[in-house]
Amino acid sequence: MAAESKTRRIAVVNRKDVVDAVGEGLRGDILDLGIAGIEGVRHVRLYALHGALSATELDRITTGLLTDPVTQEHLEIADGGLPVAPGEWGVEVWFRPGVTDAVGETALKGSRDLGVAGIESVDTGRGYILAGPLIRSQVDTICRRLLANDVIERYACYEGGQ
Amino acid sequence: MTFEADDTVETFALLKATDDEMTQLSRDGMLALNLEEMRSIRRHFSALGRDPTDVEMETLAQTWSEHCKHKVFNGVIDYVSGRNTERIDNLFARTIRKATEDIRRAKGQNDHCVSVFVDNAGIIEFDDDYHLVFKVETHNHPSALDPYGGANTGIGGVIRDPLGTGLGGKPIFNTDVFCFAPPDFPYGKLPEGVLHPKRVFKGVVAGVRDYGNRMGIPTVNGAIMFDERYLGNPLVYCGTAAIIPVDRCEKSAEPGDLVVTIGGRTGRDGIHGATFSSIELTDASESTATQAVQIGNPIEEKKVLDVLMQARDRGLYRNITDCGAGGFSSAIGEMGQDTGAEVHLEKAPLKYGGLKPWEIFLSESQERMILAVPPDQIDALRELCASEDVEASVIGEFTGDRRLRVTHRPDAAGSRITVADLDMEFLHQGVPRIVRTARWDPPDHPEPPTAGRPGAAQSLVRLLSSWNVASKEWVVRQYDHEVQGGSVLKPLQGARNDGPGDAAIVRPVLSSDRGVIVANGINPSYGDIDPYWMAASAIDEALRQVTCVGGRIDRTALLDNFCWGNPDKPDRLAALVRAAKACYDVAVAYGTPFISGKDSFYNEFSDGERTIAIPPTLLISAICVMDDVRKAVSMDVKAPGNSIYLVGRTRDELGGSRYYGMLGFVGRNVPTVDAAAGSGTMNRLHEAIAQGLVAACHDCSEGGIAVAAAEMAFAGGFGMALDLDAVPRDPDADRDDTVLFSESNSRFVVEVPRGREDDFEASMQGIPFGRAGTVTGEERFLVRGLGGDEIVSTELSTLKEAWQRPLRW
Repeated sequence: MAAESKTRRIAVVNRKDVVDAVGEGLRGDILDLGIAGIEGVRHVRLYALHGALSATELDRITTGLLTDPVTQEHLEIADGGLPVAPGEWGVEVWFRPGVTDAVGETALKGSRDLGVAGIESVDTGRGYILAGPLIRSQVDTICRRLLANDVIERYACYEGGQ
Repeated sequence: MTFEADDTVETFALLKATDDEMTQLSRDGMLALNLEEMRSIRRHFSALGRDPTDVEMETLAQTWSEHCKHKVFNGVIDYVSGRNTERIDNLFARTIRKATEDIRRAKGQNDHCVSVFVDNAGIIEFDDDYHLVFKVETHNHPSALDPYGGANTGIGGVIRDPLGTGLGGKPIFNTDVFCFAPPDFPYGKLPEGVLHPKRVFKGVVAGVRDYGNRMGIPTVNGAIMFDERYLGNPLVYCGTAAIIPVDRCEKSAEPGDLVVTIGGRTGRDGIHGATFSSIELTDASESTATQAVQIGNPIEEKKVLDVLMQARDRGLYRNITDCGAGGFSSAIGEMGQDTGAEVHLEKAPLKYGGLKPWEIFLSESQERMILAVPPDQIDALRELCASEDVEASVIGEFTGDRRLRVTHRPDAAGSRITVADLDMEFLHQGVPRIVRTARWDPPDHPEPPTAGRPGAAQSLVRLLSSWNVASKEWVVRQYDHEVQGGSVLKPLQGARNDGPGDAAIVRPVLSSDRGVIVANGINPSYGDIDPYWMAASAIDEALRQVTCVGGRIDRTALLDNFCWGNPDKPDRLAALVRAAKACYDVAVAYGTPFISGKDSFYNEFSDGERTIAIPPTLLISAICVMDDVRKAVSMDVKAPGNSIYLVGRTRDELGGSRYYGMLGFVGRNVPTVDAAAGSGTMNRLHEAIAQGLVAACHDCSEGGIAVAAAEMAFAGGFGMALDLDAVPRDPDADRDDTVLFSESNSRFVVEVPRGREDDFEASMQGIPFGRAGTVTGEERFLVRGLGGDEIVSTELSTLKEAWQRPLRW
């Protein structure tokens, strides 16, 4: 039976024992903003795969293309968003419609090169998991000042455990 | 996959429009056409008896934009200085281009220029097989809105310039120069709609890194300047050099040749980029300018490059240019200028559906090149492109009627719908020339009081850790400066590969020892006193750096890149006139021709209350052919016991210096240039280096002798003892801080191997020089002042840490 066309969202993160340089750099930048409550930042690469994919095909793309098995691991995320624990905030940043997504185009071609014919398109985004006692207005400031560029991107942020 | 366009074509009701309505039309459509230009267009279409289509208006607007036509440089300027008024008819032709013409005539047989100002980049001779191509561009406005994407496409765009020069050059290195507000600018003072300078800085560096590295082109040279006035308008200069076979420099398009687009597909990216760059940014720009932002795809461009190099060598096309500002309209409009061209828009591959014809024609989607392909070669080109996974599409043909005709898909009856039909003559020559007034009022900045200045040692440490002087290693380390395997002298040098090099050297043909030197000169602070001496100093600085590593000025060519505020304002325009006049005077005196350049105006930001203009900023890039790279000299001291010489005269020229800036002053005595003396010094020093009499050489620029000598010492890991009494100087340069920190031009700190001092001194006869110190085995930096007292005695590690700490991110 052919798989039904839908969107699967994949998050790729560094393994626990691998330094998250992007996250560490951002933590410093957030401190520079005067937000002293920030305790940690984890950087997440996000992919939205659109198309009719079987479980085997999805696995072929995620492990064979999107993830470096030596340093990274991946998980599929539900519509609820990133896995955010209480006391943490999740942030997702995606391109606005019409903005060229070169990595997405390359991921699409790579998927087809792997023989996955049912894939229709790939969008890429970035996710961040912010740890520390932050309030929404601070998270908004972080998003506007550092994480998302309103000209080309939109963002969503949500608190863990809500 | 193919996508369908939206067929809507509108006409502009111009024939019956009033002046007010035309002004409104221009503003609402973001056309950036002034009233006089709108009237010219109305006159033209009145004679034709019809209104223009949106495709025609948009094409005219972008072709006539300041970005494409350089209306200020080519216009008429009444330059008022004191009681004198000078009418300058075409500033560019009378300064920059005239310098090149005069130099080439004077050099006669020794002229090394091949192609200047006419193609996408300048070309000079390299060796029997190859010529050298060089271009520097700016991508300021897009980088202000989206630092990563703006810088990304800045480097992507400038790589396509040499690729679109002649029949296509192969890129050999990139150079990048940025101007930002200081990274510690208070967040609370940030105007609405402006990104914080630290974010701009990080985004721009990441954008350049990701494009250059992924294309496999080494980034070997650059500079970063900081000034608060760059807050709303950061500057991003990107440059690329290439080599091109000597028999591939000529191009033409013949009637009957096919118009072929290869590479990326067309989307809405960068719509209105050319006209956008001719408008001042406001706090509303952030959202209204979404379409002006472009996103780069270096992998696509790399594939295009690989295909083109093969197609060039097989002679599959007759002409090539890149799609830059204005997209198809500009590329095809310029290539077909002498023949005429017909374009069928529905044949252009689209990224997504719904684009209107004018959007397809004007889109600035990246990674696209336009070729003129003889019909009998098109199959071979298609086959080659398919083999490299590059899309190639025939979208029209060159005609013989000197018209630019654009058609869209055939209607139901099968006849083509013409959406634009423009006379090439009117398109390219019809723009009215502007007449502007420039008014020069020399500023008067007080000198700082001499009492209460910090001591020499403390000043040196503070200067080393100022943003402009501090190590840029955090940036340099992100760039690949080794790829292609030809890098000889790299941006970081010395015992631990962390000292600041002057110029970089690349060996583009690995079977030969012939090299290319690249350097840059820039110092906007001097322009606060006099833009004339700012420009003169920038040329001198670039040539000093070329000399330092072993280059010679008679084999050097220059590029000029002007970034300015609004030239409609008389003071800004006067600064431009003065800088351009200096370019003529100093380039001619040194015999170094300009081969290409670019200008970017309207770098002003308005938040509703205040308008902040950038300081007038001229980047001079120098490129030089070096016969034998094995003679190259780096800036780090090499061995204890060697002698340190100061070459060139030190004057009381602290105006605009980093030292005065540190004291909170601008001052009066801006560094001047005596090019006759300077070229003598540089030529002799070149000879001394060629004879192996120089172990290390560093130019004196920001921070003067003190900073240059300290950098040489801690880069080499050896101490230095200097005696200021031995420094050649004017009598009025009689204070320790003047001698240490003055930024007089045409000066060098030179290390001479022990035992070769007599030979070096003999080679320098007639040039101001002084044996001012020695390299020591002790890791201290010592300076004896004019009175004989020890005024600096500081551990090297203290100096180096001060210099490295600020940007250790």
